[in-house]
Amino acid sequence: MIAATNAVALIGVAYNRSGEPESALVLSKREIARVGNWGFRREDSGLELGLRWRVPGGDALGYVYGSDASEEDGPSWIDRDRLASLGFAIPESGDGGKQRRSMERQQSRDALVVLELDGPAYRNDVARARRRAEEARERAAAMPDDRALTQRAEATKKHLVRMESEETRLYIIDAGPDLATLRAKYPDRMRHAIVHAEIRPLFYERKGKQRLSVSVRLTTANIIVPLEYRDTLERSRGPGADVKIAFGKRLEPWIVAVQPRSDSTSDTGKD
Amino acid sequence: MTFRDEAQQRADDILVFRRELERLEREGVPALPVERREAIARHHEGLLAALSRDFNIDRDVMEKKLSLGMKVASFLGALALAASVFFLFRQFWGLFGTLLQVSILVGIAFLTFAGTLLFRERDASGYFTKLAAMVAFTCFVLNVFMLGQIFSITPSDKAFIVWAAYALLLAYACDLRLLLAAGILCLVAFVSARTGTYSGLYWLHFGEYPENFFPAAILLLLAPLWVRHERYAGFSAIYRVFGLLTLFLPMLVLANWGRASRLDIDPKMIEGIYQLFGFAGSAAAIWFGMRRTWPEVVNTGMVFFVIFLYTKFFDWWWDVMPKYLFFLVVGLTAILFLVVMRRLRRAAAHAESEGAAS
Repeated sequence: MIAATNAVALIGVAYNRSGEPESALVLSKREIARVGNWGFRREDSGLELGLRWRVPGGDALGYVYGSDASEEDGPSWIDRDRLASLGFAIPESGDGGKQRRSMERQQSRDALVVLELDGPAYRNDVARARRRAEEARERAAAMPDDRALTQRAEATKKHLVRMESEETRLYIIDAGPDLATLRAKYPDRMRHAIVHAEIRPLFYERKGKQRLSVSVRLTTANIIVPLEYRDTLERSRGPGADVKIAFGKRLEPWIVAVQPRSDSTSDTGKD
Repeated sequence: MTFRDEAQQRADDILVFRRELERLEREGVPALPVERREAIARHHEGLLAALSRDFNIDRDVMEKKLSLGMKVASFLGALALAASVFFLFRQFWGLFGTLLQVSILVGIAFLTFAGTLLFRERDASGYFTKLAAMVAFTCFVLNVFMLGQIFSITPSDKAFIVWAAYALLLAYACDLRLLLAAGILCLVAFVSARTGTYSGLYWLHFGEYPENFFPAAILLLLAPLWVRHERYAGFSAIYRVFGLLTLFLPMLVLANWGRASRLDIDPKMIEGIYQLFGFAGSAAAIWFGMRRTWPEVVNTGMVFFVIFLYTKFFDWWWDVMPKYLFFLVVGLTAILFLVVMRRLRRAAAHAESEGAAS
């Protein structure tokens, strides 16, 4: 039984990594970072990296990584039809109580999501952050005595700087049940990776309006760093390193290369 | 006589026989002629020595008490050693290459399995076999779990069925109830996860819907009817207890939190339905356990009947009654329960004696 179980697992790994990867992304420390280990870091000699991602249009100053899509109107790829294609039965608006109960009963389902690296979704968010910073600066300049406006201008400016140089450029931009359909829609395998995720629709009210959103958790978001790449990663703590992640036939990721960055390497994402 | 439990039962019977013989002598009842008594005593001594040598049984009450301590020590030791193996691997695994990591994981699973079989051959007491088996199980769990981590394998509920099969294999091969319990827990997780995925649920969330556990409960309650356990003392009882726990715990949750149900009806109605099921089910367990002389079923049924009753009392009266009155009602209910149970016990004893007479 021990032999059979290990054989099945390892054959699966070999199959995943055989041939050309389904996709491959080169990620910086903005998109991939060391994950916590529940306070057992001293007891754990392994190094585990986790993907950092967000959704388009995420709340400018208050989003979280990992399982969030709480922006005002919901990500553009979330609608009733898309969720229905993933197997969810989203109630029509009408009886608020019944609808809410029905949404509370929604279960997490397995789905495929598209991760986009440094693409239009990221650039749109940077442009929006820049627009907000500019508007806030103009308002503050018009009323220099208003402390709240000044603080708002500073906060939006800091946010813009973070968006341009620190925040992740990896965005979930679409979801669907079928790999071939998604790949046909997003053919660039060096920019778009398709991975498994668990998805659960959420329903909430904001400003008196009922909104549809979604909770997403990538099924295999964490990657163990093999020993051969440990030194390179440990030595490049300041500027970080470019980590090339491949996603195989079963969409399971692994590290295929680690390239240290020099301080002069730019990935500010300005455009 | 091939099993330790049978050997222990025989030794216990001999002790009971001796004690009763001594009592009869003290009370002046002529039980046995001296020469016959001495012959029986010699036979028993030889038998006890042989049983002690072959099966490491407890020969008297003191040994039994020590054995209980050893059982507790071996249980705690097994848990501690299992944790130690896990943390030992985590402490050093990052220093090894992938090939060596996999080799260690697979190798240690094989080694601990072989070690368990070796202990089974040499350890008549079973305490060290239990320790070794628990460590072997942990190593196998670690093996599968860490392979998943090292290669970022998509998590799957299938791991539970493999762990369950391995734990049950060790439990039956080494006659270990601790491993049987571990196997049953893995089996419950697998069956419940599968039940959840049939309705489209992502398997990791199977615990969100307590009804997902019911098929596993039915399976566990039926298992002792399919598999004969004459050679494995206590195995059937463990299946039944875990079956009842897997049935009544989700019912208890649903009886108090109807929103967790899969049924798309008014949560209050769901709570009412499961309260009814809870009372009826636990009462049925008490009745059935008494009929079949399964004390573990009677006791589990009683515990849940009382919990269902007290949670209802709490719902109805906690806010409206003065606390002294509330606790008085709870206390009086307990007394009423004891009276009913005593009557039931007498009725059962009467039925048994009538059955024996006829």
